[in-house]
Amino acid sequence: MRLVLIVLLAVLSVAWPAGAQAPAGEAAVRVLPSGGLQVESAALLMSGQEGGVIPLAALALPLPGESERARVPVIVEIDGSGLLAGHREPRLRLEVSVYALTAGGGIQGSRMDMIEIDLARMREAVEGSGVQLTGELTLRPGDYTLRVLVRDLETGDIGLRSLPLSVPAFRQASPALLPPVFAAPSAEAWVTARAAGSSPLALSGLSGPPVAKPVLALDEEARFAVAGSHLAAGDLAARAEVWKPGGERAADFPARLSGRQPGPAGLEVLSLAFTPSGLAPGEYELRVSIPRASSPGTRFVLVAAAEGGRVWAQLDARGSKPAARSAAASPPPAPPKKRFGNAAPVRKAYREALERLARGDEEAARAAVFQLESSLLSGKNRLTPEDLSEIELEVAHKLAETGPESLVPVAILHQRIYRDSAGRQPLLAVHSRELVLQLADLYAKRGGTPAARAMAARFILGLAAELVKTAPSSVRSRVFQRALDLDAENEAALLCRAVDFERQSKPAEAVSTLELLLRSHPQNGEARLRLALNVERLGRKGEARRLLQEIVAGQPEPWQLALAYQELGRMLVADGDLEAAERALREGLKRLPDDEKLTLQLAMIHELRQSPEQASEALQPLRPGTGESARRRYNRMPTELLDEVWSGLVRAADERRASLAAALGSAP
Amino acid sequence: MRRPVLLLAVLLLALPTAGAQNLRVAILTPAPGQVIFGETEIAVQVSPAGARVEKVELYVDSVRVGVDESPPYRFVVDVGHENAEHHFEVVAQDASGATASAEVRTSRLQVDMAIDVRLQQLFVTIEGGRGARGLTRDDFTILDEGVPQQIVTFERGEVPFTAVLLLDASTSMKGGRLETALDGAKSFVRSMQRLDEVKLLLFSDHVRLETPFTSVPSILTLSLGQTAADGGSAVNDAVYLALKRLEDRLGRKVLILFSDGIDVESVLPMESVRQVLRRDPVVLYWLRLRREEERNGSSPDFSTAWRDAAGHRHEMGELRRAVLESGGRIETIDRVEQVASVLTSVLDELREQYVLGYTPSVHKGPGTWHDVELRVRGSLQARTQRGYVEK
Repeated sequence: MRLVLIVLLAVLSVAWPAGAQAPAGEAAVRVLPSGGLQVESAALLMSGQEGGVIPLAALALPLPGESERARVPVIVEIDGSGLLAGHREPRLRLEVSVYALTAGGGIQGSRMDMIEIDLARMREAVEGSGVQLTGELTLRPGDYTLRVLVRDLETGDIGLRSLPLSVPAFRQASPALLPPVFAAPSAEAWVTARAAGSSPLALSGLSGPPVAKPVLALDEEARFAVAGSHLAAGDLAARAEVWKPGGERAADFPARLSGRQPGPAGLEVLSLAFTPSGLAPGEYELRVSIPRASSPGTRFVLVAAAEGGRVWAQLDARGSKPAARSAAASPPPAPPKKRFGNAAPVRKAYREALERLARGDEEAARAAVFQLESSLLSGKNRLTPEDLSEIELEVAHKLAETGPESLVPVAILHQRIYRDSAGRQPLLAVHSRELVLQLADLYAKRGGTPAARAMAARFILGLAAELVKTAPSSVRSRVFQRALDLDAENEAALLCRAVDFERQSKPAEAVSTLELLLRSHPQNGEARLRLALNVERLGRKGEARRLLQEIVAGQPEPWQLALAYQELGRMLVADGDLEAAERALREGLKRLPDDEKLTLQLAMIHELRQSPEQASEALQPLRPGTGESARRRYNRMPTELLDEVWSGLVRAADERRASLAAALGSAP
Repeated sequence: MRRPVLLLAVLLLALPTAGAQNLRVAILTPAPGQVIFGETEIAVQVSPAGARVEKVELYVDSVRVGVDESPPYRFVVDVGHENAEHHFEVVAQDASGATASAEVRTSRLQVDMAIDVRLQQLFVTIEGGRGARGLTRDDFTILDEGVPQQIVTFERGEVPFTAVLLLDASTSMKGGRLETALDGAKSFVRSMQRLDEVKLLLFSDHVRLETPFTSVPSILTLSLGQTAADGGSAVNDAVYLALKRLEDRLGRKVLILFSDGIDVESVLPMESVRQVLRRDPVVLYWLRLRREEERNGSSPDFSTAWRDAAGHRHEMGELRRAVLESGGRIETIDRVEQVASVLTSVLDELREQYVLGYTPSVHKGPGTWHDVELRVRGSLQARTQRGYVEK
């Protein structure tokens, strides 16, 4: 058995599981650069928290690099069984971020990739097991914590895992062992994808490619490989140590060494096998020891012999579930039910906090819920966010039965916690955000009137004022769409959705959203300006110019007026009508004499006429400015509208405290 | 600041104090309407003789630039080399608190006739350094539109230059990064020669600060107190303004841009700015701060409300082309702490440059582009402008 590294020129390697259709046209699985980590993702990764609703596993295997730095392929496996529940888009898009952090919290290596999967072709394969991504980091020798974040860009669901990583100093003469590596039960076990710039890992002599978390069967010999450097010559007495996840040694087995061969880059590969026995099914870690060296651990799942031959994502909590499901035959099942102990104390503490809120002590209520949720989402006996939401929503349901208006202060309370925790306690922030969305749905359903739906939409938009600062665009889009599902004419939601479309370079979608907005809110000047710019992007130049001329004929806000003149000038220059452009710009400068951009445009018209001296003269009065330019304002979300929504919600919550008190009094 | 002082002066003049009735002040030089550049002496006379003068304050273009507490009242200020009007005002105050003021306005130089010497200059950097020194004009061959040209001027090394340091002061420079970049800029100025001059331009989505051209480091930092990193990024607009500020400067001109190069809020396309750069020989250096995601192997591919990803790539490509056409270079850095050392290397490069002048023998008509090729004897590689627009 020999560990073989093959560098392929192709940037993507995809294996097609049984049952998947052959690719036609565009690849069914693609790995794209993610375009940069979002603030929220970074905060989640740096927080050190673990959890989320997407189960995942990871394995890192440091290998000698060309310099002192090691190449560290990282395999990330994502459970696909519950992933597609609630998906409406034809594509599954997963953002996978990996950070390698030092003990002091410094980022020594990172990568962000986006996996895009065509569900029309791959749904069954994804649901059958899941997705395996291989990416690569380069790291100096040392001890790290590897943090892995997977985010579903449509649903916003996340999974977060941390694992220790030790990168040996391969150039030093001391012996070093890498983690044990097991092969997948078959080459098609996962939907596989490889990130750009990463080399594939293949284990020669085993039945499949390496996996992050193997499934081993009780009383059956498990074969694996361990790579190392500077190992002692001759026969090596190897042992397989099995550890419980909590750090307690569970068993110790002799490991059969069936061969040792030279591997790549000066490594040596040991072919080993051991037979786990006398252990209860469950999750363990395998470490290998030889004289003078022991390996880091590799997580594995131990199952009864009959359940072997699978990958971990094909097993449920008890160690079994059908190997593959047909999406066509039955709807995708919900994620496995999470278990939690006695919910009564949590429910009681939550109600007590709400009672404080009803009495008007909002700060104390917020502090109590903050502390309750923080402690329940972290620590040794933590709850999953789903479990916690279930308990809190149970209380909310009871309140809503008495009077749905009682939910308004509750929703605002959770929004405040979202604001407090965003960037500081990411898991709590995500939980608060999702809870507010669920409270909005509950309120709309209980109220049952258009007014109730409109208020529920405002709950959601209250979130957006904070969300636009930190959350990824996919989460933003989802939130705005949820608001519009409740209130199709909501001014702020329509405008924010249009801006989101613009920022994603989707002018057609932006135009239709803005037209919808202007039908219900014809006075919205920002929408009119954005409409003009987006119809121009669709090639409707005359219409764009007419719209801009209408804007400058009126009395819009100064930034809108400045932009209308700037864009009118730009369009006229692009059409070669320098005279008309100059007229427009001069008219603009009469109304906005300090506008830097209009001055620059006027100067450039002189340049185009080959009159650089006149251009210099035009620039003479230009002085450094302060504040936010109109173009900067255009490139951001209309947060002013969202702030207005928030202020209105805070007032509404205060007005409904009595409803909450009444509901708490009558609801058991 | 000045208005309350003047108001106070008016009030005091109305009071029946002896000092207030007698104190007078006059600016002896410069004379009204005089054209001034660079270092200028402002001579002030306070009367009557023997008046108990506490201090004389000088304001230049509304900025308080100095105080003199004893005669002779004389100030030397550097007004830079811009062809501009200047306003001088002095305020004298005596022991009783009475004040008197005087002002003078100087004029711009009226250019009635341009002298067209048609001299085309090439700023030449020898790549690699080895064998760079000691070359003579015979080691160079200039081809203008493929036609060999006679080199009429040949200089090396200490040819004075005028530079604009264009620093990104957007939100991405928060957390002390702007301050670190400015420290680098200051050490650049400290290392300049006596006749070199520099202007500092800070920009975000608009111009945030513009200093006069100066060789005095402290002048660059006079107004920096209130400048904090904030806002978006309008690279194209700022580069255009910097080029225009260099336009009427004489001699070797250099523009050093420090930015990640991603333009979001400019109103001008880089293509238009590049055409302006082609007309005037300015060597453009770009200290490109690599973005976090690039360091992770991804390409910075993103869209904004102003441009899609292809639009952003196009603008970045145009900026690269502008730098290379100008004979400058792109220096990519990962950390803002590297600014000082890269600026030092730029300064070293400027000191090693050859300046070759020739009168083009090829005429294609005003506004046309001339391809220029420079050959160096032996295996040396030279970098210079790739052409120019005929005037």
